[in-house]
Order: sequence, then structure tokens, then C-alpha cells
Amino acid sequence: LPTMSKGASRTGEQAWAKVPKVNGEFFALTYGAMVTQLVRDFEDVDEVNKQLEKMGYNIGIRLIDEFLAKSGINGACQNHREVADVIAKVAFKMFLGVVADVTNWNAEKNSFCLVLYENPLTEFVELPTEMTGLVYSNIICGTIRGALEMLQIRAECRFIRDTLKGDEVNEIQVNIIEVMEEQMGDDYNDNS
Amino acid sequence: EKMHIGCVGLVGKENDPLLLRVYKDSLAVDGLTNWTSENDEGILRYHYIIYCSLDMVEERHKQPGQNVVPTTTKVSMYLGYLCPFEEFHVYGYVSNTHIKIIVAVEEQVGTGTAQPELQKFCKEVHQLYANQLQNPFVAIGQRVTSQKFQEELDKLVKGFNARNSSA
Repeated sequence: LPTMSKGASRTGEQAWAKVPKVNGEFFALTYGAMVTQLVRDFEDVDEVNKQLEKMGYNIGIRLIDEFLAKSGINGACQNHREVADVIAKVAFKMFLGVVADVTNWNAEKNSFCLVLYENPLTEFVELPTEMTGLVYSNIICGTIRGALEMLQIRAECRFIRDTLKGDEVNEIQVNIIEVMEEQMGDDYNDNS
Repeated sequence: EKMHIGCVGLVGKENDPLLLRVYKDSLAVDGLTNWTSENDEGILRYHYIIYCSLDMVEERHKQPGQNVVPTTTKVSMYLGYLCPFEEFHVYGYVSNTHIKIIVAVEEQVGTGTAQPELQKFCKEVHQLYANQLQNPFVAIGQRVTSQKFQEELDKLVKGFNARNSSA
């Protein structure tokens, strides 16, 4: 298991090296402009959180194919642990340039947390006091949910720690609800 | 050789106050919010310092809307020494977006010593201002209320004062 993590880190670094880059400030400002516009449009913080998650979902369902094509990941993950490592070490690295730590597995091994020490979306962001309910980076949660759904994994993601709210780190909890059965054609049945 | 920054002021395009941080008796005080004309006379002085120095700034730097003959010479944002005010020497810096940084330094020697370090200081304050402006929730032209900006500025001033406190 430790070697899988190391292998994932290396894969992540290699993928990051290959992908085109964008200026970090431009990226953060673009995202910030979008969030503040949503806040102006919807006025209700909970609704904005929902919209961000939805936008993330739409990104995730598309991003997953790019990820599988460009990341150098060979083959499917064998278990939830590998899924977590790939998200944390390869996907986060390839798309956001940062790595996450996988922590807090529950007993059933279907829930884990991703700890982010750096978040390129929030470099200069300070939440105004009247918006402490805003989950500024909720787009990330939606992206993970969308990507996993395309892999037949139904999951819920939410922020449980947020640096914009005074926490030391960002922590996203991923709950795997079910792994949907693969619909295979009859040709692939062993007993054909 | 002793130099001590007494206050740092940030003034906007329309000469509106954006920030006033006063450094007295090892304390940092917000000069805009913690002040009414009735109570502390101490803070009023600092308002006056900034106010007076703006005249000098205008002499050296054309405000937007005035007739400017474009020159090909490179004009520095750092204006240098502006004017004296009692025990202070007041220095100024204007950004290309017409944001002014005014620094009042308590100096016992001439106005030459502080210059290079102050120029660096002003540039760093400008950078801090740019950083807090990248917060998408901050409106352009509003007063600087960022906690981070305040902490970083206080740190810069503390560093400057500590480096220049040897008598």
C-alpha cells in the first residue's frame, strides 16, 4: 500500500510536468470573479454553495476522460484505497498543482478525507463576516463527485475544514455510497 | 541613526483615506476606525500629517484628469522626502493607479539615510495592497479592512523599526 502511494505521487508529478499551465493569479482571480458574481446573482449563500457544487459536477463528468487519457494511470483502481490515492496524488496534482493527504478512513473503508495544505483558488481570499456559510471552493467537491460518478462510483463530498473559516487546513470528506454494478455485454460473461 | 516609523497612510485616487496605521509606544493603532474628533488628540496629528503631505504629493505627481504632457523619461513611483512635520520626516509614494502611500518617519539625522530602505518599504506596502485587492470580495476604492494586510504591514513596520532602533 505505501508503494502504491509512492507510485501515485510519481505519476502525479509526471502528469503535472506534461500538462499546459496557466498563471496562478489569473486562475484565482477568474474563480473569484465567478464566485462573487454568483453571490450577487443568487444572494443566498446556501444557493451559491449548491451552484458551485453543480458546476463542479459538470466539470468532473468531463474532466475524468481527460484525466484517464493524460494521467498515465494504467488500469482501474482495485479498491477504494487506490481510488483515494489516485485522487489525492495524481488528480489534484495534475489539475491544481497541489497534492492532498488521504486520512480518516472509517471502519467500513468507504469514507475518507482529503487534506489540502494549499489551495490555489483561495490564495488572497478573505471571506467577509456576513458570508461565513459560503463554501468558497465547493466546486472541487462537485468535481470529485462528477468524476467518480462516471466511474460508476456514487459519492458525496463536502468540506469539513476550511482555511477561509479559520481552520489550519482544508479537509474534504468523501463518502462512497455505492459502487454501481458494471453493465457488461453478454460477450464478456465467463459462462457464455 | 535612530529611525522610527510613526504612521503609514494609504490614500486613494480621490484623496480619500483608505488606511491609517499609527505606531506609537510599541502599539499599532487603526487611525480611521478607532478615532473620533472628541477623544484622542494624538491620532488627529497623524491625520493632519497625511493631509498636509498630500499637497506636496500633488506638486510632484499629476492627478488623473489634469493635463499631462507625456514624457519619455521613466518616472519613479517613489517620490521620496515630501516635507517635515514636527519630529517627523514625511515620505511619499504614488502607484500608477494613483494610490498614495505616505510614511511619517521619526528621524534624528538628515533625510538621506532612510531613503533606500524606505523605497523598498513603500514597494512592499504597494505589494501588500495589491495582494488584498486580489480578494474578490473587496470592492475597488473601499477602505482596506483585510486582517492579513494589517498583520503584514505591522510586521514590516516592526522590522523596520527594530533594524533602525540602535541609538
